[in-house]
Amino acid sequence: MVTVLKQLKYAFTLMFHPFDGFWDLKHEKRGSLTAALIIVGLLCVQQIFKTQFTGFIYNPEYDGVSLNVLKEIAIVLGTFLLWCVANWSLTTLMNGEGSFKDIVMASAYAMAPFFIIGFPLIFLSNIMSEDYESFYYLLLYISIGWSALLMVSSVLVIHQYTLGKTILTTVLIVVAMAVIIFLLLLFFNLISQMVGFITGLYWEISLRFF
Amino acid sequence: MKHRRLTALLLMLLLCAALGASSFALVPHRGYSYDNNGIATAAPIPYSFEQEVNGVDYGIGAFTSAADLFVDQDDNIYVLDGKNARVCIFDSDLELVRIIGSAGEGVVGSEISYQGENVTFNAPSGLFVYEHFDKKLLYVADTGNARIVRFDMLGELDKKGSVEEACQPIAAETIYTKPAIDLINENAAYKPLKLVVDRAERMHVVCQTINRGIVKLNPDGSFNSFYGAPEVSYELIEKFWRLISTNEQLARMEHFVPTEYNNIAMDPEGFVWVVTKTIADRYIHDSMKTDYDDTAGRQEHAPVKKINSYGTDITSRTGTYPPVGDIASVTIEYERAGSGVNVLAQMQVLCGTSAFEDITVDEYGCYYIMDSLRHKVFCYDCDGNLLFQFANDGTQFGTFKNPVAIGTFQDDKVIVLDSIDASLMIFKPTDYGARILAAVRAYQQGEYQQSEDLWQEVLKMNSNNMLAYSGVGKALYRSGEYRAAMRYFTIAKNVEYYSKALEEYLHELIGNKFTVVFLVIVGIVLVIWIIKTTKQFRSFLRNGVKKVM
Repeated sequence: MVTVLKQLKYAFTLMFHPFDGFWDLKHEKRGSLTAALIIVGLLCVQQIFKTQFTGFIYNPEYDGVSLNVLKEIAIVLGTFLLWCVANWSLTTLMNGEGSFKDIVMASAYAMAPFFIIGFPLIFLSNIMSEDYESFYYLLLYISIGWSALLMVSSVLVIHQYTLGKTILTTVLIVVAMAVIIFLLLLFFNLISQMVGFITGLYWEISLRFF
Repeated sequence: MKHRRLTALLLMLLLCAALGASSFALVPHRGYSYDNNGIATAAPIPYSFEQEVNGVDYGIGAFTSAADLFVDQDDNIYVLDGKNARVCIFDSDLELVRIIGSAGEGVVGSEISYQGENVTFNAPSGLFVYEHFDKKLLYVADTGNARIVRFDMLGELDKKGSVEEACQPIAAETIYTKPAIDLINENAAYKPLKLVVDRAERMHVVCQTINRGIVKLNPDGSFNSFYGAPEVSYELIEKFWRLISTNEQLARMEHFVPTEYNNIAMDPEGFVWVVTKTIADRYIHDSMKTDYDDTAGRQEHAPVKKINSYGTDITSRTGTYPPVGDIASVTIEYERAGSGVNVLAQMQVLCGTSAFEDITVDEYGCYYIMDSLRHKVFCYDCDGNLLFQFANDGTQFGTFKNPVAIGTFQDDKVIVLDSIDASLMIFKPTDYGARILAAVRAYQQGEYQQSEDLWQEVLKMNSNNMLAYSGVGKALYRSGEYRAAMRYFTIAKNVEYYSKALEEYLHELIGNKFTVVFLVIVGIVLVIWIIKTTKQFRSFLRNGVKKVM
């Protein structure tokens, strides 16, 4: 328990020293998969809280009752998994040195600023009037930008790429994510058509002969 | 036995007749209002038809091509009867008091004299009554004769009673002929269509074929200036296409000329309101999508504008949608008879924005605009919130064939002049409409408690009315109940006022204690920092530099 807490606290060190941080994460075992999964869990909680408890001014569309917890969790897990899978499948082809476990760990730790700034912001947004709108969005964009930079540096350190290759790989990962989504949609569409065909066939036969 | 059966039949017939009579009270149009997503939701009927006034009933012959309508401060109704070349004036009890002008033989009317000569209107199309202190002047835009004729109405409206008395000859006070305008061709036609007169007796005239804006004439009839012409703006892509087109192509393209206004009105504060229906739908839709975060609410292509004397658009458009009448495409939810149960279905109707023919502004800044496309009347409050809409096209009582002018009458009634139906139609507010109007007025007069009560009553009649939630919220906000106000603004999705209420609420909560709260936070941070540094300092003393680093 104490070790997991220590591993979680490592996220703070990593935020400010990304290059050393990711290196130590992989080689010095300063973090763990458990801690990484806890961070992902926290991100899910943050997403749920964000939908439900963001102040009215910053979330006027939400009616206060139509929250779907499973949907919010699926959004976070889905995006995270999509990134990790696309990252892994691309970097194995491009001589990346990180394993899937490394990628999951590094990506989760990279999301730390998004949680650390974003989570308190949810509650702050309830007492921020429209005058503070710019501060709200400033903090939000800082959290997103910081996490994005950490993500890129995680690719650099985990796979031991040069800077140019890192940028190229990051762009390609995003493209790969789009391709995966496309393939999934295609797959589901074809499956549903096939299911429709088979059920149709079943009904035709059963109505004709029985 | 036989008799009894007959009696039963008769009774049934009577019942049917009674039911038929009660269906007279049904209104031949549907009420709806728009929610925050632009979806039309069912709403109670705000106005119902009360009475029709036509010339035949007064024995003065039917109105023919009636063109304009004006209601003065004493609720006298002036009807401009275009083809008969006369102005018929009715008082607030709808009795005929005066007829000015006549097209000639066979038309009931009076003779007009001016400096010893007979004057006849030729296709007049606009009129205005100037009332200031004890002056009462009637201006008629005599379009066909290219002039404006002015009458002094003092003492003219006391002749109550017979048609003969109403048809006494009258002398025109002044006739303003075509002014010398440097900026337009001398031979160009001058066709004054509609006009208003400001407090300084300057005439603001909308002229046919002049698209430089409103023509402002001095009290002596000489030209003063043009103002209020809408700016013509190209989009970048259009500029590009124009750049690469040949001259032949350019000639075939749409010409970008400023839109002409088709009507003008003056509100009690003396500001000029104009409406136009020549803006293409797509431009209106585009400018509806503009970001309303900047509270000026500027709308580039606005069919309705309140303009100041420089011609700047100063309309307040703080509503969810700007005042454009019907919103582009509308989804109406209705109950359809399904098998056994009624199912909720959706229907897309009414595509395209409204075409505004006339506008009238009441004492409280609420304005009624008439849509000549779907023959509806839209009412907005002074901030540009749609209060309600009513009326429809058709041939029943209370529906229009060709509405041309609108006016308010006896505080909250609405009069519409229909030129094909040749009649004035008077509408009176229903309980629902009257409460909305009363709530808006109470709020403007600072009667916040009363306004809140009225909006609550409106909500009981129509819980879809987002404006009512906002209204209750605003009244609560003004009376200092910020927490409750915030709840109502959340329902109405009124971010602007929610933010205001939140600020006040926090201020109330923290108030003067802000300094204390701030100092406590700073103190906590300081204590944590001191503890941390002493820890490091101690371990430095114990283990030397290496461990700390």
